[in-house]
Amino acid sequence: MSAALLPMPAVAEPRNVKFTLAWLAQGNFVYVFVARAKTMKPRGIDLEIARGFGSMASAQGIATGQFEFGIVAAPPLILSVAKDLPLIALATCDYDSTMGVGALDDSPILKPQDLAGKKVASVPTSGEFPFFPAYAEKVGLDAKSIEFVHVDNKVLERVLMEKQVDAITSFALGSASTMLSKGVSSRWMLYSAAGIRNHGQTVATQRKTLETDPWLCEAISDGLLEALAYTLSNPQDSLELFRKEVPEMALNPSSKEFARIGLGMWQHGIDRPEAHQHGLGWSDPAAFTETTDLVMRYLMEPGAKRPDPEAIFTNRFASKIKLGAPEWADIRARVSEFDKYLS
Amino acid sequence: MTAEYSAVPRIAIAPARPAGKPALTGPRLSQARPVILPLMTAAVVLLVWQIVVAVLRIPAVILPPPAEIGYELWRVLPVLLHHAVPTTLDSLMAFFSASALGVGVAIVITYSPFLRDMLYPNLVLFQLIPKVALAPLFVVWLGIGSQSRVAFATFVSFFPVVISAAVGFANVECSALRLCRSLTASEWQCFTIVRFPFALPAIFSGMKIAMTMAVIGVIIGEFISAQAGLGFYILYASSRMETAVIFAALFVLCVIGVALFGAVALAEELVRRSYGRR
Repeated sequence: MSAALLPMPAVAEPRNVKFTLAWLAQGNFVYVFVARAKTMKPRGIDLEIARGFGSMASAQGIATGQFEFGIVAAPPLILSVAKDLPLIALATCDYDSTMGVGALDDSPILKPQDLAGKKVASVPTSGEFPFFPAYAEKVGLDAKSIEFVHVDNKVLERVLMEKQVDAITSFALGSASTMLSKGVSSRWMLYSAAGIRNHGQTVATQRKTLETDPWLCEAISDGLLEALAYTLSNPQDSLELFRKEVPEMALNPSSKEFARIGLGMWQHGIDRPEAHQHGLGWSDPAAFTETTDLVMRYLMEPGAKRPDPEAIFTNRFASKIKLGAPEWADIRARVSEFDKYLS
Repeated sequence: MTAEYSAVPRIAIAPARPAGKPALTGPRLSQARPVILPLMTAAVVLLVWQIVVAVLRIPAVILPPPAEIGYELWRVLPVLLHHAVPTTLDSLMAFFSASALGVGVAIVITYSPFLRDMLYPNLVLFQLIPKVALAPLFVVWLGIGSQSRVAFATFVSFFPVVISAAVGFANVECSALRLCRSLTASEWQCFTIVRFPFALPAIFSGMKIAMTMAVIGVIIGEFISAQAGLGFYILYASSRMETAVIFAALFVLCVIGVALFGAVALAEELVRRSYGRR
């Protein structure tokens, strides 16, 4: 693997960097904890990780300076920039945010059109919710024929498991792994399968930080991508590290399984041509353009100013780590376990 | 003693009003002060807010200026009023349930020392529980319909009523009760003529708190699960990063809260007057 330690930009003094996740500490954020334990300290960075409350809350937290860096899913990041938040993505970590509609395995909902007339629960602050109209249009479904129920994230999977609703909209990565770790299998109709390309996690910061402290931005980006590469090649060790960093994840078998499934499903979204061809962290301008189109059409007032692509992401620090074909083959073999949930 | 001495000259040297001039605005101003002062304070805060947002160029998605909130309020008012209906109805249902239940339990623990010893410490203990943490459980127990929101709001607003009413019933003047009993009044007569009227201020102070808690409880309930309501709409607006709309919804919520609180205060006044006429 060519993922040898990246050259380390000089960060003169060990410094504390406040970093927010987009959500709770779970499998898809293992690499951030691996970064704290393994790759940030040699760069003189002490990463202080805070849990998140959804990508939009993370974006606002970074924009107001509560956090210097953080994870924000690509679609909410684009919405934030369109709403004048001065943010930019330094790297894209996975290529399918797994936004979609989930139903229980024994549900009669087999295709998107089966959702007509059904009761569907959503968390309104979750990133996929505003894009449902776009999904409905793509699959030829009348969104008004659906009875939507807004629920809190604490009860989202539960209302589906208890069959109080017929389906949920969510990030499959989080919801499917939550249910699967409790022995409940679900099926997912992803927005990406309907042709809505939506990148997953991005490493975001303020544009001002990129301008005034590019070395720090590079160190953070490199440290995270190096940790990401480590989790791809060493998933077991990464999970062990994660459990040490987040001890509550080691408390019971269900939590351990939840972390394992979450990591696997997330890595399923990294195993994409973008990462194969361009290396880790690369942001696809075409995908960002498509998502920007969706944001402008469904979430912004008519006539609102469209953000420039350069204002949304940069590939300046990306593509330094490239995995070889044998490594991708290993990853594919491992994550194929989750094909049936995420295809 | 100083206070006594100082009171004399103040009365003696009351400022004389020059003949022929209209009444000075001083006393009138002091009467209007409770209204003017908060309004002026609010106006100054809004002005400073508007200036700070403009000068510091804070994005509207982080902190919208009051003028934009006002515009959004005007623009989405029909939608907000539509969503205000279920929130208000659920709040009223929760308030009446909590009031009836709270006063009922207070009566029981007032008349039964056994039940008081059994229940009162537990009620105080329950009062200390951070109830917001329990909100998702109401959805688990009662489903995603309005019953879970009303039940949660009742649960949240019940405690102030029961604690205040219990204190009110217990602190009744003993001499009045003794007088009643000496006149061979039944326990029911003692309750309706003495205990209940004496406890009214305490009951109503609990109910005023309960009214605001009921609104808060319903909003929290709507955050957990809802298909309509102001809490639902606040979350919907936040999903689109429409911060000015969130503030507009909060403003409508404040107006509803103040109106409901005022209705309870008015009811208190009417009930006390009705008892005063007897």
